[in-house]
Amino acid sequence: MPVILVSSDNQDFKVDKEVAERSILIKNMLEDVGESDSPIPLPNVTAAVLTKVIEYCEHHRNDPVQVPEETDDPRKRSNDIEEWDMKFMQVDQEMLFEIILAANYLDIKPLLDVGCKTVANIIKGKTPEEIRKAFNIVNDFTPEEEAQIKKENEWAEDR
Amino acid sequence: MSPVKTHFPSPPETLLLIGSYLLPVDLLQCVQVCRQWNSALIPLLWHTIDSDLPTWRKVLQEYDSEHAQGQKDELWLQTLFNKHAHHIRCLKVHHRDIFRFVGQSGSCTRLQSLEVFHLDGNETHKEHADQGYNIKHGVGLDYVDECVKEAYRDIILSPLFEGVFRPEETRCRSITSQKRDWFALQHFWLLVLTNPELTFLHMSRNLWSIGRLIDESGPFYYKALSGLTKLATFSDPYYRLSLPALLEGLPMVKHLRLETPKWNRLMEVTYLYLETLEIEGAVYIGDVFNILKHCPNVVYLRLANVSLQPNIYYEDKAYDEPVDEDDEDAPLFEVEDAKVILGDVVCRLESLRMNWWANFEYMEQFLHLFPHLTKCYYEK
Repeated sequence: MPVILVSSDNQDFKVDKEVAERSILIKNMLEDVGESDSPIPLPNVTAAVLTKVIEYCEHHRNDPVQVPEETDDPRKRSNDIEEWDMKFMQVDQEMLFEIILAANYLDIKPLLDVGCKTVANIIKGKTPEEIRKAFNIVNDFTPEEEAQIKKENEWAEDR
Repeated sequence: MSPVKTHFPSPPETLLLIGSYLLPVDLLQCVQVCRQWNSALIPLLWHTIDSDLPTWRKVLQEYDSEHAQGQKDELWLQTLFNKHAHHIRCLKVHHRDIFRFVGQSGSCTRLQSLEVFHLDGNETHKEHADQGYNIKHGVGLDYVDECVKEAYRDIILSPLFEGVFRPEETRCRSITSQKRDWFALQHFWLLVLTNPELTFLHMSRNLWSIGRLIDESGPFYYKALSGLTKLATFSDPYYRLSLPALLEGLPMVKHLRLETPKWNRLMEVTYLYLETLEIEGAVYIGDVFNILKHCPNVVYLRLANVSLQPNIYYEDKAYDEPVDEDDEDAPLFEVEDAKVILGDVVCRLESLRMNWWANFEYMEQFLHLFPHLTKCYYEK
C-alpha cells in the first residue's frame, strides 16, 4: 500500500510503504497510527529535498537494516562512499546541508552517514581559513585565541 | 523552495558525526574554525591520546627543553590537561608521563582504556651519565639502598599507598630515577582508582621493575581492581598474585594476561566470562586444569612456561610448597588426574599455545580432553 508524504510546501508524494519506511520517523508514525491512508505531513522538509530523499530511499529500498556499531571509538569509521551514493551527493552545498538536516529529522541513518562523509571529504586537507571560506563561516576567534588553540593541539599535527 | 539560506548543518551531533570521519590532523584545523566548531569537536580530538606518537613525543621533549631553559610556564602542560583531560577516553601513556598528563587535577576520570608502557630510554642524559658512571665503578648495594630510601622519603601521595608498594631496589639507578618511578607508580594507581569506567587496562610487562607490590599488599590490589566493574581486558605485570583472588575482584573479565600467578589456593567459584587467558610465568599443569574446570568458556589459552609436575595433585604437600622440579621421583601428572579434576566440565578450548620445552608427546595425550580444540601451537 502506498503512503502519501506531504512536504512543507504542500506537495504530495506517493511512495511505497517499504520505501517510506527507510525513515525510522515515518516507520514509527505508521506503526503508531496503524492501517490508515491519511497523508503524513513533513513540515521540516521541502519538496525539492524530499524528492532527493525519496530518490535515495528508492535506490536503497532493499538494503539490509543497518545494525548500529557497537564500538565506542568514534574514529574507526570507514570513509568509503558507494559509487551511486557519490553521484547522488553531487549537489550544491545548500542542497547537501538540506539533505543532511532532512536525514537527521527523518531518521535515515545511512543517508545521514553518506551526507556527513561527503562534508568530511570537503574538509579534508583544508586550512581553517579555507574551511571557513568553503562553508561561509565567520571567524569569531581573536588572533590570540586562535594561536592558543593551535598551540594546545599541536600534537595532532602531521609532522 | 525554501526561502531561508541554509547555514552549515548546525546541530552539534551532526558536526560530531562529520568529525568522526576526520583524522586528528583535520580535526586540528576544524577546532580553529569558529567557537561552535571548537566546542563540538574538541572532545573528539581529545578522545584518544597516544603519547607514544612521534608528534606527542616531540611536544613533550620540546616542553622539557624549553622548560629547562625557563622559556615555558612550568604549569603549561598541567593546565592544558586540566582543561581537556575530561574528554579523554583512551589514554596510552608512558609511566613517567602519567603525572605530567593527569597529575592530581582529578579531571581525567572518564577513561575507558588505559595503556601504560615502559620506555627504558626515557631518562635524561644526565641520569644516563650518572648511571653509566655508577655501573662502571661497580656501585655496591649500599648505594642502591640509599637511593631507595631517598626515593621513598616524603612522597606518599595518598594514605592509601602506605605500605602497599616498595620501589624496586635491585636495579642500580639514580635517586632521581627512583623518585620519578615511585611517583609515577602512585599516580598510576590514583588514575585507576578514579576511573571506574575502564574496560581495558594494560600495564607493560616491564612495569613491575619500577616498583613492586609488597606481598602484604594483595588486598589493596584486588580492592582497587574490583572497583572496575566494566573491565573486560586486563594484563597484569605483577608477580605472585593470586588468580582466584583476582577473578573474585573481576568476575566479568573476558581477557586476562598474567605474569606468574601465585597458587595459594584452589579455585572454587566458576567464572563464565573468561575467554582468553595468557600466563607468562611458570605454572603447573595440575593448576591449569583447575583453572579450566572453573573457567570452562576459555577458548584461547597460552602457557609460556608450563611445568609438568602436578602440584595441586601431589598428595601430602601443601599447595604453596610446589614439587621440586628436579625431583625425578615426583609423579607426573596423568590424563586420569586431569579427568578427575575436570569432572563433567567440558572445556570450550579451541586454541592452545605452549612453550617450546613442553614435552610434546606428554602433552599430546591431554589434547583429547578438549573436544573443540582446532589449533595447537608450540612456541619457541
